[in-house]
Amino acid sequence: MIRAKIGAATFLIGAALTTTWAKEKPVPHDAAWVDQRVQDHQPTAAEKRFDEIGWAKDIREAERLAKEHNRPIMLFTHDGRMNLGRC
Amino acid sequence: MRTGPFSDARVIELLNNYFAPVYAVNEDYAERGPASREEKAEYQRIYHEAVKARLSTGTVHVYVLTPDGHPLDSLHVAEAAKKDKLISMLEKTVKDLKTKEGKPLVKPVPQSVAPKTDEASLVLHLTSRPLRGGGSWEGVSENWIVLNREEIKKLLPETKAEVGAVWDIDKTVSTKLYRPFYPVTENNDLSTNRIDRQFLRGTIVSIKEGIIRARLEGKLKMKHAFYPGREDNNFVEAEIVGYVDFKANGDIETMKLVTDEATYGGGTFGVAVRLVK
Repeated sequence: MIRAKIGAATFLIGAALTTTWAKEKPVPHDAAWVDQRVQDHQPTAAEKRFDEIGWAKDIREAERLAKEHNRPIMLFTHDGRMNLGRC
Repeated sequence: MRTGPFSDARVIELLNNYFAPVYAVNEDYAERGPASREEKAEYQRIYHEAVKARLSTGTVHVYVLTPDGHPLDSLHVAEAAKKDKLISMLEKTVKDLKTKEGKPLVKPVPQSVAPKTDEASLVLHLTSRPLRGGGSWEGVSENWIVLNREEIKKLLPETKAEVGAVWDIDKTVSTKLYRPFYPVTENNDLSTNRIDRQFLRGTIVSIKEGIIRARLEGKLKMKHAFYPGREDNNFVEAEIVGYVDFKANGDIETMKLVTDEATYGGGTFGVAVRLVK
């Protein structure tokens, strides 16, 4: 009788585990999954606000425009590639 | 700075409406960098004038210059990254110089653009973003990868395309694709990324109306130091999946790759690559 109960309990635990594994089985990585994942990783508008600034193409252009319009210059010097987020 | 103060509404408003904003990449202005001699001379003049004026100076710095180009104020990047400090310096400059509000002097345009290439080349765009657990800086980073005609040939199978055919993509091509597979760190010299293990394999899964679709699967283990010139024990480990659609003549129509649970420095990140040209 006890053996039968243990057997039944083992069966239930086994069934529960099987159910859990089934639920956790990864989604197949088909083309649709890849498409969605690529989309998910694209920069959002909030992450591209840097592009809303009207950057001069180089120091001398900024100097020319500043003189012409009587504006100060904001110069940021840095290592890497800020335009790519690699800095 | 890109995802911090330069994404802040007030900073953007101040720069667009009261300043002539510009950024300079130090590597471009180094002795062997591609910037013109005149540009390098201006960079040096501003730096030395700022030193002479006893302003805070350095290579990673924000400088404010008068309309005739002389240093007026400055902030080390660690200070400028605190947006309130940067706003305070910009507002003070506007007030002191009595600068009138106006429209942006340069039309804002995307700063990350595909490189110009010949007709036969392919351009792929890569984005990398942190997901969980840290290990890298915040923010999305991008790279542009160009494959030339020879590299495109090496990407595709050499034999006749049949459903079920499997081939290993040439390592010179997968190396070029994989080298930028890292999150946002301070080290962006791709040549220092040491690939220890890698493969990228294609399997043809369908042929429909002249389009051959191959599933792409790969793995990568790559040493990537967080800081330039500073050794550490940080590795990128990633599983990669994707697909490529091509014609029998070798023309590639679509190509996408994504990482699945890529790890670095104790955190996870995600990379996506897509063909744009």
